[in-house]
Amino acid sequence: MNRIFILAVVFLLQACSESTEVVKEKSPVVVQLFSAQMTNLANDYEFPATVSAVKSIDLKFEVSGRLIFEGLVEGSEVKKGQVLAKIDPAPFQRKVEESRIRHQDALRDLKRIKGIFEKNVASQRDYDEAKSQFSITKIALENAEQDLSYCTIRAPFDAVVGARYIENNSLIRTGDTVANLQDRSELYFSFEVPERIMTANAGNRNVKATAHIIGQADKVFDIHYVEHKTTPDPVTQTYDVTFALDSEVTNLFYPGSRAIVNIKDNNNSAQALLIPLNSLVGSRDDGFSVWRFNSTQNSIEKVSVEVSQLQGDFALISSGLSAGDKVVSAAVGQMREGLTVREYKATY
Amino acid sequence: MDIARFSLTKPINIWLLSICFIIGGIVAMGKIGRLEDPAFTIKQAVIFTYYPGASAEKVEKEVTEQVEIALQQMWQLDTLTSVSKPGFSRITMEIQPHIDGPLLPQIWDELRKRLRDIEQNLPLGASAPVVIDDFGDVYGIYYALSAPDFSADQMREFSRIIRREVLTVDGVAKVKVGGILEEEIVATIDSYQIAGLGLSFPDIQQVLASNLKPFSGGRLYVGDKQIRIPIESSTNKIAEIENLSIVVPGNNASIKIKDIAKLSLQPVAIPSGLKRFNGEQAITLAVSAQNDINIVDVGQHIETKLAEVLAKLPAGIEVSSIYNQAKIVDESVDGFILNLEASVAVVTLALCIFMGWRSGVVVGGTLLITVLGTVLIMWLYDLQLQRISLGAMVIAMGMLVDNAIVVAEGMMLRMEKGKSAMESASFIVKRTQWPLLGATVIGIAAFSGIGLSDDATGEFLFSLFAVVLISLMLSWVLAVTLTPLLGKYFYKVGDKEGQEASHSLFHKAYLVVLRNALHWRGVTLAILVAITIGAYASFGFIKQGFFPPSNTPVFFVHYWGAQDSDIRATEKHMKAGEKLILDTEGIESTATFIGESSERFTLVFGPELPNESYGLFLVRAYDAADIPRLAQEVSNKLRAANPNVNFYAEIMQFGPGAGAKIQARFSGEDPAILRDLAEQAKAIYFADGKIRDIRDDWRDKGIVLAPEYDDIAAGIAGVSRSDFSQAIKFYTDGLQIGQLQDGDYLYPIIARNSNTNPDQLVGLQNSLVWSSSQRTYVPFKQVSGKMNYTSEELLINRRDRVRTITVKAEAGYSETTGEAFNRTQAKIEAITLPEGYKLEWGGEYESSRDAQAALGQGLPLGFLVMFLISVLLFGRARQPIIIWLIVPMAVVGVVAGLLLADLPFGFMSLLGFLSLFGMLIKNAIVLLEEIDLQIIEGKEKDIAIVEASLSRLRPVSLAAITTILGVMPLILDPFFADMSVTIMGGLAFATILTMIAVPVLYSVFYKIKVTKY
Repeated sequence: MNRIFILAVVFLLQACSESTEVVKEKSPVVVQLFSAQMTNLANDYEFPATVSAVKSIDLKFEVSGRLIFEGLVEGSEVKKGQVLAKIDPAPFQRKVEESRIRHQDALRDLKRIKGIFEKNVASQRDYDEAKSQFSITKIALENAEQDLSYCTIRAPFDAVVGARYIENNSLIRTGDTVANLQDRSELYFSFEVPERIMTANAGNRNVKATAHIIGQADKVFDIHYVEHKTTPDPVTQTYDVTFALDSEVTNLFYPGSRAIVNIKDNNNSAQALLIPLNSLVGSRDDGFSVWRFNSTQNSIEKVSVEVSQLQGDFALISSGLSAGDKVVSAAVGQMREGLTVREYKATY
Repeated sequence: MDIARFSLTKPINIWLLSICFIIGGIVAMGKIGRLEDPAFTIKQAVIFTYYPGASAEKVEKEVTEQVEIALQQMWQLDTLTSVSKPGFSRITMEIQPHIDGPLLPQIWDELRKRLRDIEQNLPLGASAPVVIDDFGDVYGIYYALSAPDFSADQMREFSRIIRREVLTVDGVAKVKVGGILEEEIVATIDSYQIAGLGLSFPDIQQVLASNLKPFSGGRLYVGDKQIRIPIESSTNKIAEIENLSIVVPGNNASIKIKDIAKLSLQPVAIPSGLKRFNGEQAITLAVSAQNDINIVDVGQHIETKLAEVLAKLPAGIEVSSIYNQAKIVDESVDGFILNLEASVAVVTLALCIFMGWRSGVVVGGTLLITVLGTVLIMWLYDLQLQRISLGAMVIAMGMLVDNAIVVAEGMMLRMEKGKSAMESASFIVKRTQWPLLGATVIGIAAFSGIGLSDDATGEFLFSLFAVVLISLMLSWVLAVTLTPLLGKYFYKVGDKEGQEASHSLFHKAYLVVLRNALHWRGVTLAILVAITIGAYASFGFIKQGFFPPSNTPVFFVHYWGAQDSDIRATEKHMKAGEKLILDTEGIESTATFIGESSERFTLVFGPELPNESYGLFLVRAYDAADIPRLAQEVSNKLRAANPNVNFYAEIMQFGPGAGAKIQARFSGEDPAILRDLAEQAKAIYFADGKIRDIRDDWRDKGIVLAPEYDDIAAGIAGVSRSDFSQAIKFYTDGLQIGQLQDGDYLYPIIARNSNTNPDQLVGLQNSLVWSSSQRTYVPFKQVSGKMNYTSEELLINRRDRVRTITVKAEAGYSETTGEAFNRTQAKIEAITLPEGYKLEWGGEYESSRDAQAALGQGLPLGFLVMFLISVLLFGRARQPIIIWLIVPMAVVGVVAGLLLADLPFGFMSLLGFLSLFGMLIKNAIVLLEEIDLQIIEGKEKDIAIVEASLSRLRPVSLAAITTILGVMPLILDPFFADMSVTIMGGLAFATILTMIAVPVLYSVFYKIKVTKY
């Protein structure tokens, strides 16, 4: 009885296990695919730049004296010829007066001696002396008049007062800098370019450059090439390059402020394939490979690729794939050679 | 020696003993230590060494290898496994299992000494190796502290207070706080701005260093007194930093830090690990109790303390329990006590029905006192109530009653025949005491292989042997002393003097069967042999298991992203997964661990290494029975929602759950070949279709971006490698420029670039590098040419100093690991291994093989002892041979039972099997003794066989029935289910074996012919 029972159990179990071991048709794994796309290799450079004005001059008095007027408001715009500062002109006016009197004296003397000389009463020497005295006093008068005119400083061009270095009523000596005037008809951006980039782009003017001030990345201005130095900085071995603002000068930029210059190389037509970073798997050596979709067999195969650059969440592939190849872009760790897959298509 | 006479004449001694056992047992029951698992030392130390900036391969060669060589020389070493990751080496050292726990501290001292010796051999930049030797501590009481309305530093403060208070509770050894939100002070600096100023990071670092360190003041000597002059430090730390001034070099102007940097207190960008509970950020408190303590009491004290502390803290702090060992132990001990009561009741009831209420009381009373006495002795010998000792008591239950039944039944029969209590007791005890003792010792010896083996299994299972030893010896002592005494009080002297006991229908039926079997003994033997062979043949159909699933309603879901994924990505995915889990019906709570595992909250849980791409959900269900379904449902849901990463559900098991159940280890030199081998193995598992969660432990390779360092350009510009690396750090994850101590927390001050390009890489390439020797900034591109992109190994695993890749997998949901393993073993082993490469099996196969090997060491000795005793007992050869011939037949009932119940044959069934041996042998011995005695007493041999068998029928079947009924409630307990089926099935058949096979074999061996009538 017992034996029969056990045998029955055994058969029953066997039957059960057989029925469960029916091999199921394995359904393909649904995978997310990405088509490798050709993309232009953008060469983007960013440099910290210093903003400078086209012209920046220091105003100085050529005479000494006490300052009696200054119309210098830093940052204000001044028109050409506008009086900016005045030194007390009284001493210079007196000097002019004095010179004029001396000159008139000399003129009178000359006239007198000339008359006498013509009458052959005076000697030739006296006449010559009077003539040179006349010229000397004339020059002295002109000098005095010029000095008087130097008491007033006028704007040499339309400018912005960059800085003021004097205070009213102070005593000014000849040669003291009064103020700094900047010509903002154009703004320059100068920055240091590493040797490597300089040599790689020698002679290349086909670039698109923009600039923005630090902290105001949303206000971007176009700039263009102006000049560059050909000797590098002795320490950093970088080259000084200058670009200028294309558009009307805005109040946003101040000379001396820091800006960021962004230069895009339009010449570079190199192209590379773009695939998601997530599709890369480390290969046997220290390179990378991807799972390429084989649409005829609906399977995937491992292909070695070479990564040349990363761009955000994407990697640029320099070899191994061709444009339009589809690669698995998710769950790559779960893929294996020859796996039957089906492309995931969003249905809603 | 007439023990029964002695106990009946001096009953006071026995009563004293019984009262001691009863009172002592009840007292002990309240005081005995209660644990979840036996106190067991995990003989493991972990050695961490940091080597920032080095690749995994460099770490392996320069650090791991060095440390391993030093450890290799320690003779105590068993296995050495290591993981080398970029910048970090972790070596796990396992000590030989036979070394006792108390010796470990000494070994760790030696380990530390050796590590100190090799410290100078380690490369420059590597940290000193750190040894963690309390790795095996169990933090059985595990809380999550969430306070969503409070700030991180407040949470930190609360957890500090709670930790301090909990540490004062008696019996608490350690409290570990985890998941504290790390914060840092971030200084966002515009690099172009400081470049314009000509300021450098070293300048800022110096300013911070010289202003933020604690200052010692001076001290005055005034009038014989000392007066301390402290220097006050600012109260608002961030403001303090902000207002520090830096002198602009080459200029007499100075600027404040706040002019160049925006300071803010932020959670660290790259946290080392996050913990969440039910969808809230949480701090975890893990409490480890002292060894050998009543964990239930400790748990209650902690609860009380927590309530006290929380009352003092502001409302809004929620403390929830993640795992409460105390509660589990309490429940399981309560459950056991309930089982025990049920068993005693069932046994007593069964006896009442089959033998009358008097026998019920006599045997039941003996049983109760035996159990109480066992608890008392356990308490006195510092044995705790835990999973293993409770199991042992249950196993012993079946055997405990046997001795008492034999004595009680014999006494009752004799008294019914009109003999006095004294005479009958003396007669039956004298007759059976030595066979019973021998059988009892044999029963104990069956377990000696497990309990006395000299390794981890032995240490873990020692209490099993101890409890079996105590309870069985006690049951024998009480059976020969207390049972006669009780019998004297309860049994009545009958008047059927000299009369043959009238036979019941059952007896008559048995008599017919027995006589037939004896008559056709050739046929009987043939049938028995056939059945046995059939049973062995069908053993293969039984599912093979190792340890049964736990009945704690908890399961794990492991999350693994790609190895190179960032912890922030892990956090994102884990948060999404957590939501899905919490939305699932039937789930009570979920603890989420991101970037690291939970603490070892139960002995058998092996925490994973901290890994940014790892996460763990610890899910608690309302009902343990739902777990397999929920685990599958949750992991399917998670996988469907996020196919990019891996989720592996794991059901908690009793017994050491060392990660994946199926593990194939390939070891050798070349990582590429190892990966090839692993791929082949994985392909085989994938092709299998049923096996799930296939992965390897080297995981994915990572991307390395190596910026070229142009020596020539950097040399001209005076940019050192250190300048270069500082610049890279500043433009990427931040450069640490200082530290700020606030209370007990040290904030790192991190400088980060402010005008971060959304594309960090572009930002880096356009960055500026400070040249410290020329004190000027140089464009990054000037000193670095192109970026090199390569892939590299992120995890190099070694085992005993050889690189080893492990392919891991789990069996399908509907099968046991054994089935899946056997199906694929040959295929994996067929992979051709290149010269110098090796395949080893790990996982459940290894652990069960190790356990079986340990048993294999001890079992033969145990069997030898059993055999010797059986020979000594009879003083003859044929009887022991009969016994040992029927022992293998015990398997029949076991196979039938397990097949019927569809349960696996695992470790607990093995234990049940061993106890079955004991019971079977005991019955056989008593029967054989009876036959021998009756022959000696002058009965005809053929009559003696039949009479003796008939007289044993009742005690044997009674013992069997009571045992079967006694273990029946355990079928509902997943831990004991397969064991109880083993005992039930095995015993049912063993009874038939004893009652039919033993007489038949006896008649064959002694050539005794028995006629049909």
